[in-house]
Amino acid sequence: MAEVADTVARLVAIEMKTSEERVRRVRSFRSDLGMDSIAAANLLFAVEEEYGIELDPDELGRLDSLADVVGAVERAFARGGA
Amino acid sequence: MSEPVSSAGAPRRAERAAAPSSPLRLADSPARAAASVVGRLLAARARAVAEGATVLGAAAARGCLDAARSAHPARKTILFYWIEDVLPMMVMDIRAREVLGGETEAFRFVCDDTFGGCVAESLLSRLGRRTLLLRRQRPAERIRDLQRIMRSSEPMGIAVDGHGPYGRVGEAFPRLVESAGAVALPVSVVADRSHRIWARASLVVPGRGATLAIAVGDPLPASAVGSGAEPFQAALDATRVACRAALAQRARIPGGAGSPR
Repeated sequence: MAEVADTVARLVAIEMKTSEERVRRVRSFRSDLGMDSIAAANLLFAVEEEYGIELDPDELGRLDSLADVVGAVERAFARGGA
Repeated sequence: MSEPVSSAGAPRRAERAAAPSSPLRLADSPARAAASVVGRLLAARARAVAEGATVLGAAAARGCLDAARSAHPARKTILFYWIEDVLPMMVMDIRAREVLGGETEAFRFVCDDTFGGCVAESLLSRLGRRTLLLRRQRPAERIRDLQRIMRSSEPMGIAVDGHGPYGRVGEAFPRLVESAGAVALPVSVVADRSHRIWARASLVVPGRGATLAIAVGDPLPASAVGSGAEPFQAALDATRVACRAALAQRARIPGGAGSPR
């Protein structure tokens, strides 16, 4: 799933106007990148459109790191969301 | 909304169909049930006040709305205002229906799940306006509600200070405009006699026989977002000043309304 991590890092970097390296380094999108709910909504739009999936609504509030988002994408794939 | 916006997910967003509105579950709690009752009473009050009200600036407001739509036909319109103007705006729209043409019936009004938001939702629904819920309490629901707002191609109305601090445009609103690829239009409606029924929700009720002035400002495109909330705040303040000036001018005319408050 390295490709997914690369893609998500790129999408986060675009949304938060920062570098992919920084996205990979930070622990928390909210605390370290200042991601608020509007940025999160935009990011999830981008991720869902990129992969043609719908993320689990119950997970949305907990997606705060690259690993979180990649995990959510993997679970969406596993559910057959692609 | 065919024009591009800068956010990562925006380009293909407009191709999605607008999601249905979220239902407000006002009976979920005693507070929401109470909000529903207050909203019903305010709706009745709005109709009663509208009967004897005098309106100023309705034709000009209609012209501003039409001009904004003509100038930005591919973008949706977001009407933004202070929460205290919700009821005066409805009174204005009822009273000046022949001029405004039931303009606000085309809009979907965003209401949050604070008590004041639930009151506004109840009020607007009972006056036949369509609403869209923005749940603030839980992050996941908030994100999905924001996505509905961004995706929808319908014109929208948003009280930019609905969750406080009152009279201030929050930093998030300009970014919402950008993400929605929308054009934002400031609007104020001020009455020469009114009372604040409830400081906590900052709701204002025009008095019977009131004169109401409406002012719609110039559209603020998504490109204004780079400057943060300041242009939006200034635009909204300017419409308020315009309303007060119209009321003051009328008060100086012999036989006109009394001094504006």
